[in-house]
Amino acid sequence: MAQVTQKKGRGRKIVGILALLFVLLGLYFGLIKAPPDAYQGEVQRIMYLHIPSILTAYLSFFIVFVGSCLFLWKREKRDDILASSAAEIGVLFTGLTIIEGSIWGKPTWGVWWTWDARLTLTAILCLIFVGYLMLRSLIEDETRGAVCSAVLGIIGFLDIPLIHMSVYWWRTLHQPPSILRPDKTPWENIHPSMLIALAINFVAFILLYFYLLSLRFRLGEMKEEVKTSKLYGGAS
Amino acid sequence: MPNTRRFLIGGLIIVAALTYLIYGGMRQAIVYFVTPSELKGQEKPSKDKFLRMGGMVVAGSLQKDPPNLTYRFQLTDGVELVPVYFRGIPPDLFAEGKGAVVEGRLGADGVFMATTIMAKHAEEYSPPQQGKTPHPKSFVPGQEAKRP
Repeated sequence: MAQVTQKKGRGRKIVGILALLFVLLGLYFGLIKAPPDAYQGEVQRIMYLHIPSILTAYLSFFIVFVGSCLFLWKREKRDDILASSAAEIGVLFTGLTIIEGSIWGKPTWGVWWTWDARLTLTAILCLIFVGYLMLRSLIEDETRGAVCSAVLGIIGFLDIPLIHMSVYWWRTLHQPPSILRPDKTPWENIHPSMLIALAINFVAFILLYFYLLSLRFRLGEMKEEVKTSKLYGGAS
Repeated sequence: MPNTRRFLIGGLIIVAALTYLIYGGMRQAIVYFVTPSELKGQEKPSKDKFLRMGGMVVAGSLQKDPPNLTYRFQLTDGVELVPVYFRGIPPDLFAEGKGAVVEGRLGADGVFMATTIMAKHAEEYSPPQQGKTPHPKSFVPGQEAKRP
């Protein structure tokens, strides 16, 4: 058992070191190697954080969705721990996305914020999962809290396809996607010298994400271990 | 397990209803901006009502008065033109031939009195090239609703 934990810990450490390397590489490519945008200038570099942030948040809420479904189906504690860990980190990355977007929006659009469909739905996504975390701490019966939050986690995830399609379904100030679209390849929208900086930063964010998720998941597991050992008087 | 099934069916109904409400509700209620054609086509012109209008800044229509910070220009969706008056500082990317969304009120004389100008931006990024001015198609009139 101890050996398994150690092995897990080593894997996490490797992911952490890789994340650090890619973050540094991403900073170099994003700030120095990539050219400024012809139209927007230097401020376009925020894109190298903004797109990876939101894609990481999407991934995170997808993990909440999967974990919540599994928990409702099999009622295993670890699925709930996974879902709640992912929800916490997802809120972090959604918040970052909104902040980065605001900093970018002021010089390009001229406003920090506007209530167009995409921005509004992203704010709703953030609020749903803040609500998710609040719900968990408010309901005292743990199993009930887990069930309620799992339902909310599944509903909350459904906001993501809406966010993605919002720029097609409604008139928005936000531009259509550059990457995730079937009709055009990414390098048609983004020059290869910029796309590589974006790709490196994306890898960095994903690695960092799994490092954080693994740490947060372990913390949840340890809390659970402490609780069970207290229950059965193992650590009196 | 009739309980689980009831829970699942109930949950699905709630989700479906929510999705329908959000989709249907937003589709009708959240028209983020109107086009110049829609504004002119209104039976009862929405004078003195706060609204947003989006379109392309007509090339050659922009008249700047830097000392007074006033801007006069026309927005078009390719069909209709609406003159706009703005006093303030527009965003850097606001230019002729580019997309913009303005917030304000339609005056009695048919001039849109804007309090905010927002520049609409394209999803294309490229480095500056010598002797080539970028022409991002930041606003293609009537294209918003088109899906890929």
